[in-house]
Amino acid sequence: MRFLFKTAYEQDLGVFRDAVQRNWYVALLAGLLVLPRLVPEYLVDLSLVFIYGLCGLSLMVLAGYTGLVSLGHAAFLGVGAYAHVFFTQSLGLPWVVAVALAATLTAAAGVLVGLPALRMTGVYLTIATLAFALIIQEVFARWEHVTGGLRGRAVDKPVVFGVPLGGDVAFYFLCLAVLAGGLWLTANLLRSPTGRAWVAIRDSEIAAQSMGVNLALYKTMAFAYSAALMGVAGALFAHKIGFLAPDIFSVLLSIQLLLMVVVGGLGSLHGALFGAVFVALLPVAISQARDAVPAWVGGVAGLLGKSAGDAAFAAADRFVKQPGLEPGIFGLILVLFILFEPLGIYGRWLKVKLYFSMFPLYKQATFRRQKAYMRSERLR
Amino acid sequence: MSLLVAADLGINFGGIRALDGVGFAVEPGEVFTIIGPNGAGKTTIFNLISRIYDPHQGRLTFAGEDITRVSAHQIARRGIARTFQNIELFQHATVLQNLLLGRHAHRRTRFLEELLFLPGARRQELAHREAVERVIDFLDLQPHRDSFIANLPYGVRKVVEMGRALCMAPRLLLLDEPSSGLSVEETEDMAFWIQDIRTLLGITVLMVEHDMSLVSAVSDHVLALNYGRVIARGTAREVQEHPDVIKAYLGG
Repeated sequence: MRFLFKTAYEQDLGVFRDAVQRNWYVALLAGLLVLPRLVPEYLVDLSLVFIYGLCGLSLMVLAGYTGLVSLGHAAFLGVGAYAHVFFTQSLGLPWVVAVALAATLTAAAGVLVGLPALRMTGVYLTIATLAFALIIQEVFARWEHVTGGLRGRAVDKPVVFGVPLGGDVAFYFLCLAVLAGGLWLTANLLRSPTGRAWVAIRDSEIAAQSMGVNLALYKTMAFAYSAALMGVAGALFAHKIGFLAPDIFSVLLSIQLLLMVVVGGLGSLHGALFGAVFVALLPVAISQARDAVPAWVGGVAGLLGKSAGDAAFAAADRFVKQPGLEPGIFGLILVLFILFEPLGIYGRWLKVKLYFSMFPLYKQATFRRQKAYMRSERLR
Repeated sequence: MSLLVAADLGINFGGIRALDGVGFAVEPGEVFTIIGPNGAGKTTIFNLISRIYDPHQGRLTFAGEDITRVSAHQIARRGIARTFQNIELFQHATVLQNLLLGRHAHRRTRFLEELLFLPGARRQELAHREAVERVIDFLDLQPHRDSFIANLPYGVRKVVEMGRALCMAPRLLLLDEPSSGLSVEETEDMAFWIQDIRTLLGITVLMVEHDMSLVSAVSDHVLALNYGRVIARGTAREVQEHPDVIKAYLGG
């Protein structure tokens, strides 16, 4: 086990805990830089991981750190995507300006949702954001001269500062750079008074208020910042899918985004990224399994005889080609996580890490939940 | 001039008159204690001062300024800090983060400065950290700096909550039952700390408390409430011996 010896307050201010942790991240970055050479066939999926990573950050700020659960984030993604396409293709603005404007616009939309949301808590807020998402989806369908309506709208390849970044490799690096930037900005906020105020609101509004946190201001800020990140993600998402239609930004996508932060682990930036990897790569894994699983099953059953093998192959093939399989598996995994690992993939990761650093002294009780004390409910 | 003056405070919850014409004045540098049986309206007074409730009648004046209609988050900026009866700490944060939030009222940076973590934000964080470390030294919280609140024993949480209020560097500290749930030794420590807070840090303390040994050890003035009305005021000894107070506690 390694003990961190602190000698200066500066040590608690850094983005990384210590030099060792920083070096791991440098190694990760180096790995990501050579990845396009190693797995060129998965580059498109990896770009999606980065875009979902941004979405995860956005929801993590709102749901994981401020405690405001939103089911309307697909709408912010859509606003960002449509705004970016409108600014670049209809108005001919430069790429960077268009992204900045799209982020500003989604931030404004975030404030708009956030303002009435200040009077609501818990599930009522979630339902309000859900209603917002449905309204926005309808706007996408009806506002034809901006969004192309139900016919949809094709998206050009990105050109940043005159450099075309439409290729798979270039787009991969563009997404990686934007995600790294988003991570840095979010980490900065979280180590500042703003981030602490968000966490305070999540854990006890009444105490936060008594310590001088303006609840309305900080909740609105969380909404605006979260929406702005979603807007930037939307701009990249538009390029990624190459064609915008209203039904892409459905409630189902909102649920998937929320699932991402829950499965990843609420309340940590790592969780947002783990969740993004999970949500973006699970469909890839499922589609691979679709091809491979019937053959395996057939092969194993084939040991009993040819007719059994053929029958097993046909049954497995029918099963994996069921249309609802993917959402079904997503739902199952979500349920399993909430039952067995409420802290998500990141929580599990911490436990595994602690197990090895404490070996052979690890106690299961370390993570057993303590009995919670009653909090004053009179004031709610 | 009195630091805090409450004049003719009254509030109803539905048909219940929780406070009825309560008035008192807290002088700078004293420990002022409010006692009374359950439901007497002690915590309600705290919630009126920290502006969680609106009084239906009466006025609150702090350092010569009328704070009856000041919004709740502005109270901290005036220099009034508080703790809660059942501990309202930020459960999923470390002790350090909890204490640093106590510095929130002293935040000077703007959003953009923090977003980019410019040198100004870094300097401010260091200054806050120094202020927090002084409180950590004062309350002997050194071993718990990086512990999560959820993993701490109740007695330590109580001290952390007081520490968070002290980090604000307030002029008036409201302590809501500082000894509830503490062991005898921890209550004695609490008495010493309250005396130190007044004499070393020069902070005026307004306290709600049930433990009479703690009350008589630290209080300069005591106010006794029952059913939302003042039944006695004076020194700890005078109030304890007041016939109405004995009747309120023992019945009859």
